[in-house]
Amino acid sequence: MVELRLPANSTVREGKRYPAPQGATRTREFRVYRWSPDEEENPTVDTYELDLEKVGPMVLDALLYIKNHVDETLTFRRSCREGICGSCAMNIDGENTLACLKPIASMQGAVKIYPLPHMPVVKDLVPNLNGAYAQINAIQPWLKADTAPPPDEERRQSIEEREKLDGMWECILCFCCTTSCPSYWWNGDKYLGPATLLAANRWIMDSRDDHSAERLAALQDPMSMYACRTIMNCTQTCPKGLNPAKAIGNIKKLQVDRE
Amino acid sequence: MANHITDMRTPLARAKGRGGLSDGVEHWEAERIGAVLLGPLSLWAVVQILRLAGHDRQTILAWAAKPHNAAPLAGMILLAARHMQLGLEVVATDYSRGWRRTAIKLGIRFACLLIAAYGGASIVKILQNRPQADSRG
Repeated sequence: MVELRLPANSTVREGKRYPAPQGATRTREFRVYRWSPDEEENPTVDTYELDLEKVGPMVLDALLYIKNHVDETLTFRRSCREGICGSCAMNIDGENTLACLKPIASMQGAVKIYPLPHMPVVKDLVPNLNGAYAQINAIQPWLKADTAPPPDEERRQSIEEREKLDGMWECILCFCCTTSCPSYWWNGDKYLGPATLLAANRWIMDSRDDHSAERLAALQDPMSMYACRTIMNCTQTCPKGLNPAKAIGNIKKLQVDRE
Repeated sequence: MANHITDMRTPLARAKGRGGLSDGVEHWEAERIGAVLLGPLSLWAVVQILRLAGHDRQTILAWAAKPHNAAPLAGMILLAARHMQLGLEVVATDYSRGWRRTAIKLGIRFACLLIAAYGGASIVKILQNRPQADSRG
């Protein structure tokens, strides 16, 4: 249900301040959301002043610098540092994106860093994505073919059929789109969210899959997909430049064609 | 409040829930078809209102009593009420839960039904009281 006010124990308070090192010439403030399950305290926003001469160009570089040189308790996920793994998805300067792909120079003023919105927080910038992963599993994102593959050969696809999957297979499941969606905030227990629906469309459109009909039937209830209100935050925020809103539109079109 | 874990279902069980009714397509389609039909009907109504502005009550009632005006007028009122019901139901789905959602949806359906019925009854009344002498179209 819509929650217009944060619960009392979620209200964010002003946290610690870590001033810039002596002699820093090009400083920048990083305001980072902090919360630990071990302390029964409200979340805070800590302010780190960094010397940009010593920090790499991306927001992830700044977070790594903080962890390595300023405050080792700062917790966040990261892995590939090149926009392939989706681990460092977070809300930076009001927009869900990947910290490794977001240049510090692209923002003005203090850089505000929060975890992905409206998800339970494990610690600091680490959201609990179990629900979102389960939703991906629920649509069975794997090839379901009842027909046996040709002997000694892979399942074949025409060039045109393969092209239909472009713009969908590239999804890295960072959930920037899903957690930017107000419909998902309000009804995330029943609405699958854009990332999962993009994956659903990817398998519905796969010419090698024999289960398009069942996949479409599973999405015709009022909530799983139809809770999408075409707000388009998903498409606007996708750090990979994909278009989940278009994928959802395609599924709706296919649903109507089933009549 | 319970300070222990009360929901020990797996994340997959939670994601699947109890499944859903299969009327999402119908609702979505009815919203869009209604919107498309209301476009020309509303445009027609605006043109007629501008044309009739300044005329006396009798002229307007005589205009509304003609079947080729009464029919689209009735269609527009019924369709608008239905479209309003579908749209408000979506708002209720987004912003309410549990018994509140049920209560709000009941209220929406009842209010929209009354609006449609009132509009329909008004047109029937206009048709019943139409001036008989004037047989011109």
